[in-house]
Amino acid sequence: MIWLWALTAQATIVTEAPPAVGTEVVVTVLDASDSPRVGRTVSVVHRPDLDGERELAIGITDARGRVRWTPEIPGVATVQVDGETLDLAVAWPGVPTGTATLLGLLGTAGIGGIFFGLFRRRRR
Amino acid sequence: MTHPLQRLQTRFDVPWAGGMALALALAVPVWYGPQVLAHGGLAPVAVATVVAFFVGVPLAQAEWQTGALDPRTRWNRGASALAELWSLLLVGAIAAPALQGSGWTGLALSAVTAAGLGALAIWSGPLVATGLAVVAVGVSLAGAAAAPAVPWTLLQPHWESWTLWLPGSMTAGLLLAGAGLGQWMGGPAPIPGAGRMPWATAGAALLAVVALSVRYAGTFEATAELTADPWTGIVTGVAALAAFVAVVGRNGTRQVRARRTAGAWLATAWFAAPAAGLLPLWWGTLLPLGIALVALRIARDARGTTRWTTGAASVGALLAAGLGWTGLPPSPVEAALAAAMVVVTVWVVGTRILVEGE
Repeated sequence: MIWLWALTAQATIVTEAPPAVGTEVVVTVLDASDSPRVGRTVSVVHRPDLDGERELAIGITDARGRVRWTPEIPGVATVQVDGETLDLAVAWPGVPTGTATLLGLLGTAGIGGIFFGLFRRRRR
Repeated sequence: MTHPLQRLQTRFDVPWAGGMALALALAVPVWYGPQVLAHGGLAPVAVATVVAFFVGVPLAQAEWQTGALDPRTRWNRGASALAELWSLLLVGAIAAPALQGSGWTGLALSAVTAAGLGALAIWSGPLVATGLAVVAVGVSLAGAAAAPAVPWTLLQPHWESWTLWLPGSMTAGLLLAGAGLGQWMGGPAPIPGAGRMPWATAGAALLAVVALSVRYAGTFEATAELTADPWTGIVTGVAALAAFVAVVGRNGTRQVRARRTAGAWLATAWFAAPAAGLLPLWWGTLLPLGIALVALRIARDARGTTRWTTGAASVGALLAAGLGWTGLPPSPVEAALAAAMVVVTVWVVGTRILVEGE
């Protein structure tokens, strides 16, 4: 999914396609008049405002205001340049087994607790 | 001739006890907002689950078997008073954030809402509380099924930040079973074969917590914002109402329930405005400390494995209270308000110990 930050007096950040792990995507930085912003350092913050937050520099914009980025970490991320940000989600390559397993175990524990608590053992 | 509602209550005595406790246990999903997930993902929920099934459920079963504490003993009267006061403060703490910043209009609306809920609780607390609790759990599951995006980012467990969420998880684990606040002690003792109801209570409350977590995580994945949406707002609102009715509608005369209604509303107003800054102290230390003292009293009179399990619950709650200590409030006003809470607690408990024993 792509979220485009509204035009501001500073910059606009766009991606050519929804980012995915291991797939190169071009990030373009434009100013308010749609001119490319050259020589700007672009960084990405993975898991913004969460524990495990990581900020990585992905490059400097070229003469066309573009920088190439190959995401390595899936999930919610924020691309930032010159104080402007673009929130996006790097597509998950598959279901994260650890998280899914824990989620499944918790759901099973909940359902199991309900059944164990509500249904009486039949005495033969 | 027996009233139809009384016949219904008699038939479902066991579920009513579980339903009332579930309504109180739904304070956990109201408390566990997206900020808890931001620190540890599903890790705090997992710890709360383990605590719930290994400590909270045995404590709840011990409370249920014990029934109302013998009022002839002064320390039992004190423990009962503390459990009731702490229950009212818990309801106030979960409802207060909705009232903050709403001014006098919000305060008036909350008073009207409290009066209405109090009337329902007086009419039939168990029926209303159980109904609201079932609705809350159902809507939370529906909301999770309709999550706007895959929820993995926010749900990823982060164990390394345990200092931020461990004390709260331990307390939440006890609350998931509705234990430690006297909620299981007001009704009739369980009939043979029915003592496993606390498992169902903990399971249903856990499902609500997990479902809400999935919904928050899906919203975060779609919008990159840690925020509530209409689904979570409905669930937390109904859950707060359920907890209110569950606490107010416990066993007691109409006058007692009416006083509880006023007390719960006052607790909400207290945490909404003057004592809003004390909420971290309440959740981190005061709540588990009160649970520890109630569990200790039950352990004192218990025998065999029940004494061990309730004693372990008391120790666990004390540990949570210690780990969750946020320090004294920095502001002189908040420090004075915290002291006022202690004074009121001592006065309420002391009055019950001394006056009602005469």
